[in-house]
Amino acid sequence: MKKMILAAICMVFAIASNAQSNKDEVALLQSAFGMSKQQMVKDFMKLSDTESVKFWAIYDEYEAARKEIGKKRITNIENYANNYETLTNEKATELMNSSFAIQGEFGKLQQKTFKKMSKELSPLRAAQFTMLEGFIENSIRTEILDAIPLIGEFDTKK
Amino acid sequence: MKKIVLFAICTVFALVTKAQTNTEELRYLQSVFGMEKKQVVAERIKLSQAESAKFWSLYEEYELYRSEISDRRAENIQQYAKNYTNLSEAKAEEILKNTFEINDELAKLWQKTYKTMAKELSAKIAGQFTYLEMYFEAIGRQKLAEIIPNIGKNEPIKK
Repeated sequence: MKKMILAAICMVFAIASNAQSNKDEVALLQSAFGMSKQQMVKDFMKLSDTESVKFWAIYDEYEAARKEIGKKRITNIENYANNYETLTNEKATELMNSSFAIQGEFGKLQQKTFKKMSKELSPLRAAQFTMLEGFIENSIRTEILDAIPLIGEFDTKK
Repeated sequence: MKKIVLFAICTVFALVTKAQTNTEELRYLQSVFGMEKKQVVAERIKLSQAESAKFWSLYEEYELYRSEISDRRAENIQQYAKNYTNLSEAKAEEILKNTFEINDELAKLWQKTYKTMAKELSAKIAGQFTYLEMYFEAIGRQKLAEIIPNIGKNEPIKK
């Protein structure tokens, strides 16, 4: 059973495991959209030269923080897969609490980045980026939620 | 499961973006979505008779709050739709701040419901329920992103 779940998760992160870092969720997106995330953002935002300098500095800072959160999320899913067959109520609570904390961290990062970008570029620019980023993040979430089974969905006693 | 709820979600969100949609129509669609969602939850979470009564009473309470949050979101999206072609800096800021608040509220509601459900039923059932709710939310947002264009994309809002 553990193998089946891990296989499902590996399918989601198939591209990720081929990439340099095997814990980068964005690699998953890269396979779906056929271009790097940075390229997507660049094509979409159409920044002027002056905006560019400020924007990419904030973006890089954001990406570094987001990648850390992404790693935590993957670790949490791996933890779920490793404990799936014998999931106790205690473990379920631990995993869910981690999941809530990770979501909270991501929400805070989005808000912090929005504020900073609003100030240094403009609220419209910041809103564009936040919407795009929200879309990318949600695509990843949907893929993950689609791939992982519900607690007890597979009868492991069979 | 995706297919079961997809239609309901599409209809709700497509209409949300129509600025002229009246509240009554929206409420009706939300209730259709709510019913379909309830059916999926009932199918996926296996409950004993004793668990059933507790679960559904907590579910109804949760739905009450969730639908309030949904209404606020619908209102925020309508604001965006109305102002989309000529979005000012101030309006963009206001709409994004509302979005953050709405997302936070939903996250808080999930955590609160998870705690209560874990205490009154079990952490496993609470986990199953939270997972399903997160999934509905993710699909909903996905559909929303397909309907609503980003700022400056100069695309008409798909109705």
